Amino acid sequence: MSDLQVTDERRRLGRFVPELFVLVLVAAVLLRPRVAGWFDSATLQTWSTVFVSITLQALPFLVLGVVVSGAVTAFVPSSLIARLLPDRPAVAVPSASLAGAVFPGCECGSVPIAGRLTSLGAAPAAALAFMLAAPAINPVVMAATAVAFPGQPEMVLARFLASFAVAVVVGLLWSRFGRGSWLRLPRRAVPEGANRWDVFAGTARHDFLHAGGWLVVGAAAAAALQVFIPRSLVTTVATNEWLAVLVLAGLAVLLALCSEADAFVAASLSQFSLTARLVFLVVGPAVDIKLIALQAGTFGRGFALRFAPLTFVVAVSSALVVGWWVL
Amino acid sequence: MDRRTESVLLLAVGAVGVRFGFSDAALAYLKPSFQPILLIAGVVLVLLGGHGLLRDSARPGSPGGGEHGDHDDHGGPGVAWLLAVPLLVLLLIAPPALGSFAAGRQGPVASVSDSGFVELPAAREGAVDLGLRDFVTRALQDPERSLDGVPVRVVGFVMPDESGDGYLLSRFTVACCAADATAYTTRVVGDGERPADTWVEVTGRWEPGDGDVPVLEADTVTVVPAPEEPYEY
Repeated sequence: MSDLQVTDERRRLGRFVPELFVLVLVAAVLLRPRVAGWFDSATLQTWSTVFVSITLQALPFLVLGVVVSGAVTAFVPSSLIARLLPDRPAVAVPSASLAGAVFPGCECGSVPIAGRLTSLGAAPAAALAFMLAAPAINPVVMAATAVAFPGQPEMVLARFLASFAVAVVVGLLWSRFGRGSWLRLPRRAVPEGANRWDVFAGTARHDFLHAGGWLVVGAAAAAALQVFIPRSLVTTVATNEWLAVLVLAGLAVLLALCSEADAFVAASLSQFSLTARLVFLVVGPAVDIKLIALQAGTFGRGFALRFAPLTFVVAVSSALVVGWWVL
Repeated sequence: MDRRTESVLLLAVGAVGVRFGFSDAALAYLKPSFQPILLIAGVVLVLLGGHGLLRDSARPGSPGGGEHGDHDDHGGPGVAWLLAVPLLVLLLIAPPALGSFAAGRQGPVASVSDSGFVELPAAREGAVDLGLRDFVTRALQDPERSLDGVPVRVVGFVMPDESGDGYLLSRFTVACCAADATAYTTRVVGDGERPADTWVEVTGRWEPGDGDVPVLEADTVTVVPAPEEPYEY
């Protein structure tokens, strides 16, 4: 009995949450001149700028991602998905990786799509391969890399090969050794039998709020690391090749750059060898702080704890092999 | 979080997207060509939020999705509240464009590309207008030494420096957003000291030398208002 009352009470209060939220926002606008002085610290301001820009920059890609995931849920029959991404990893994983090559997204958009594909019956290995390939080897990223490294087309080729290999290898490894219990699949956001547009909007809304919340976690962490670890510290290790590879791989994880912008940063890290910079470009779209947060949110913490180290190791190795071969 | 809250949150985030799609305030965080897609994303979010609110009011007896109650709880994950954090940061802190603090933490850029440089643009009022990135990369690595003896005009913000003459003049180049900003920095001599983060227009000449920060010998220095586009692209 008392349980019910408590829930009732909570519900009554809960009804005013949207109004309270709006009030808080209005109060923030009105109070801004009074509290502006509290936030003068250069560290806090720099953190805020980087935090806001990572969030804003990821927003359109996230929206594109959830619109696609909503559309897939609402308009594509599960039977078709299961047929297109069958549970035969030798076929499904490479084709899903290739499918990623035509999807012009940032890494944050492909996570909710992979989540929905899996919960709609696609083989997890194939969905994960798509998730790794889409942000790394799509045409926009390839073009950005070509612009950032003018006169070095082998860099574009190396990036494509290395990232494609990461998607395929991780997908195959997952299909061989992965366990279903490691994945916590996203639940249906809208009950079965609803009108298709409601399913579309409901799924997109749910996936956006979910992934968006985790994106904020990742952006806040990445911004903090950018502010607290000065880039000048990183460049001092450039002379030792092995150390340089490890440091740039770590930097790719910590900076959490958009895959469409990381080539320009890599180009400016010219103290480092091309192979070390290739490692930076291959690791970044596959595993970074923001992505780990998003994946933990979408597939569960148990998944992220296994998937992130696996991807990291495969990405570094793949980039090194391709780097020695092509560059 | 119930459906109504979800929808209001989406409307708020969408509104920020729409506002930054139009306003120059976004240029502290993003490059201008990013604004249209931010605008589209904002409109989509507003539509999704609006759809949620309409659906909810269309269903009688379920104010705030109460009918679904706890079953619907997974529909609005608690982590979604974090989306309010960037909104509050924007409203309360309104973070400015990156300045001397961030530039000081980056250290000098070495070479940028091995490709050649195009011809210098024509001079205007006796000096060539150059972006700071263009100036710094030409000074550091142009084999043709295209800057030699040429009067140039650059705009940047001041970064005081104890370790040498004059001060450092810096400006960020952004590929996508402020998170990937790279600072290009030159030393300005012949102008004494200036307070940090003052925007100045310096007309002067490149002083050849080695070291990873080029030196600009200033003829005239004017304090200018912070440009609408704080970064180079």
